[in-house]
Amino acid sequence: MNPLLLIKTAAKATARAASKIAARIATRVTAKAATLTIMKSAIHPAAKVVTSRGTQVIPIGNFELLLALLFMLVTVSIVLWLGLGLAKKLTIATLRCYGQLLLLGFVLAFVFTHDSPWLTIGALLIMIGFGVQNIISLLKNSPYRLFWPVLGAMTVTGIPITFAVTMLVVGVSPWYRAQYVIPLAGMVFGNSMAGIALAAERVFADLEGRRNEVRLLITLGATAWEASLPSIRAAVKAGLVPTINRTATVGVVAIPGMMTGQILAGANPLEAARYQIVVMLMLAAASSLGAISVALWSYKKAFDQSGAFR
Amino acid sequence: MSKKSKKDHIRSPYRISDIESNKSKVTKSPILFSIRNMTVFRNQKGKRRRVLSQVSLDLEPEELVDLIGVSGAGKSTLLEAAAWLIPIDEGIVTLQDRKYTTFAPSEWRRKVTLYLQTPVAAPGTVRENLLLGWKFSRKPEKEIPSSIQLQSELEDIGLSEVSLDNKASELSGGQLARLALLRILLLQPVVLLLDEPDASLDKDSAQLVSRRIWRYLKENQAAAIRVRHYSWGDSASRTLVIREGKLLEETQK
Repeated sequence: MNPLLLIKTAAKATARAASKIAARIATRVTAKAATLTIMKSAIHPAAKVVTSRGTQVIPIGNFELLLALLFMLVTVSIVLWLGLGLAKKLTIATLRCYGQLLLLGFVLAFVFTHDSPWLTIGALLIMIGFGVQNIISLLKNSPYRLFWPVLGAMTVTGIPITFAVTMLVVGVSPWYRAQYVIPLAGMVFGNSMAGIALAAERVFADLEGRRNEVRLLITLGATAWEASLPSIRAAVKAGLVPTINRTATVGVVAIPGMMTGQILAGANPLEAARYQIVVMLMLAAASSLGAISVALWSYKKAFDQSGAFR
Repeated sequence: MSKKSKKDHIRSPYRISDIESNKSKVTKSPILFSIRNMTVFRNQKGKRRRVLSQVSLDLEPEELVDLIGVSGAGKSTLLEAAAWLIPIDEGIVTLQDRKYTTFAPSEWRRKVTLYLQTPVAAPGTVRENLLLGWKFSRKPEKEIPSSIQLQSELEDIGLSEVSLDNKASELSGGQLARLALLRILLLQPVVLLLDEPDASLDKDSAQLVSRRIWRYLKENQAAAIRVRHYSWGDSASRTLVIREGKLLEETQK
C-alpha cells in the first residue's frame, strides 16, 4: 500500500477525532469548571469564597489562552499538507470551542451572581431543550415521531435525579442554588441523553428485526406490550451496558473528568473520589432510567391504535 | 396497564352471558362471519392506494372458501383486514352478528385468526411454539393441552418425527407450516384466515393439512377463508376470485 496514502488515512482519522474531541471538551469542561468551584466550597469550608485569583487555581490568562491555539495550528498545518480537506471544519470547530465556552462562562457567572429560582429553572429548561434536539437529530433516520417520548424521558428522569442529589446528598440550600444545580444537572442530562438515544434507536431496530415474530404474536392475540417485551428488554440493555462498563472501569484507565477538575482545583484526591462516586451512581441512574422510560414511552409508536404492528 | 385494560373493558363489554346469547344466535342465523362493503386503502410508496373496494363475503359454519387471484390482487390484504391487522376504511365486519369494533382487538384476533403466509418459528421449542397463546394476558378458554395431546396432534398432521422438545427454528419449511397451523387450531378460533397454508407443502402433506382443516371446521362449527395460488383438486365449499381489489365471480360447487 502507498505509504503516503496510509499516512493520509491515519491523519484524517486523527483530525476527525480531534474535532470530535473539541466538541466533547465543550461539554466536559463545563462540568469541570463548575465543579472546581463546587469542590472548593464543599471540601474546604475555609475557602468558601474563592475568586478566580484564589490560591488554589492557577489562572489561565488571555495570552496563555491564545497560546493553546498552537496545538490547533500544528494540526491544521498537517491537515493542509496532506490535503485532507478538513482544515475548514477544524478551524470552525476550534472557533466554536472558544466562542461557546467563553459564552458559557459569562452566562454561568451571570446566573451564579443573580441567584434566582427562575434563572435556575430557565437554565434547566434550556438544557432539556438542547438535549432533546440533540437526541432527535441522532434519531433522524427513525420513521417515528419521537419528540414527546424523548422529552418525557429527559424530564421525568433528569429533574428528579438532579434534585435528589442536590437536596438529599449534597444538601444545597436554597434548593435552586445555580452553582450546584446547573453543573450537576448538566452531567445528569448529558448522561440520560446517551441512554435515551441508545434505547430509542434500539427498541425500533429490534422490533424491526423481529418483524415476523411480532406479527405472529399479534395474530395469536398478544397485545402490543406483550409482543414488544423482548425488544424493550434489548433496548434497555443497550442503554445500560455502556453505563455498567463505565461504572466498573472508572478510574482504571483515566481520572474521571469531574475528579480531574477537582484535583486541578486543589481538592484532596480522596475527597474528590467521594464526590466522583456519588456522581457516577447518579449518572448510572440517569442513563438507565432514561433508557427504560424512553423505551416504555415510545414502543407503541410501532403499532397502530388496534395494537397491530405497522 | 390498568389504564389500557379499562379501555378494553369499555370497548368490549364481554360477559359470559354475551357468549351464551351469541351461541343461541348462531343456531338461529346461518351466517357466522360477514364482511359488508369493505374498502381498504394502503400507503404504498407514499401514495394512498385503494387495495380493496366494496368487498362483501358471508361465511356459514363449516364452510371453507378458497380465494384465488394473481399477486397484488388484494388476497392477503383481505385476510389482514378481516383479522383487524390493518385499519378498515369503510364497511363492517361482524362475527356472530357482533361488530368487530365491539371486541378488544386482541380478543377479535383470537376468534378471527390469521395464518401468516410465511410461517414463523418463535424462539424456543416446538412445545413452547404450540403453547404461545397461553403466554399472553388474554388466556385461551381451553385448558393448556398436555404433552400427550400435543404429540398426538403432531402425529395427526404428519409430524410424528418431530419431538416437542426440538427447537422450532430447526424445523424444515414444510414442518414449520404445519406447526403454525396447529398452533392456531389449538387456540380454537371461530374463523380461520389461511394465507397459502400449503405453499411449502408437497401434495401428500397438503392433503393432510386440508383434511385437518375440514375436521376442525366440523368439530368446532367454524369457518375458513383459504388463499391459494392454484387448486389441488381437493374440495372447498366455494371458490372466489379476487381481481384488482374486487371479488368477482363465485363458483358454486
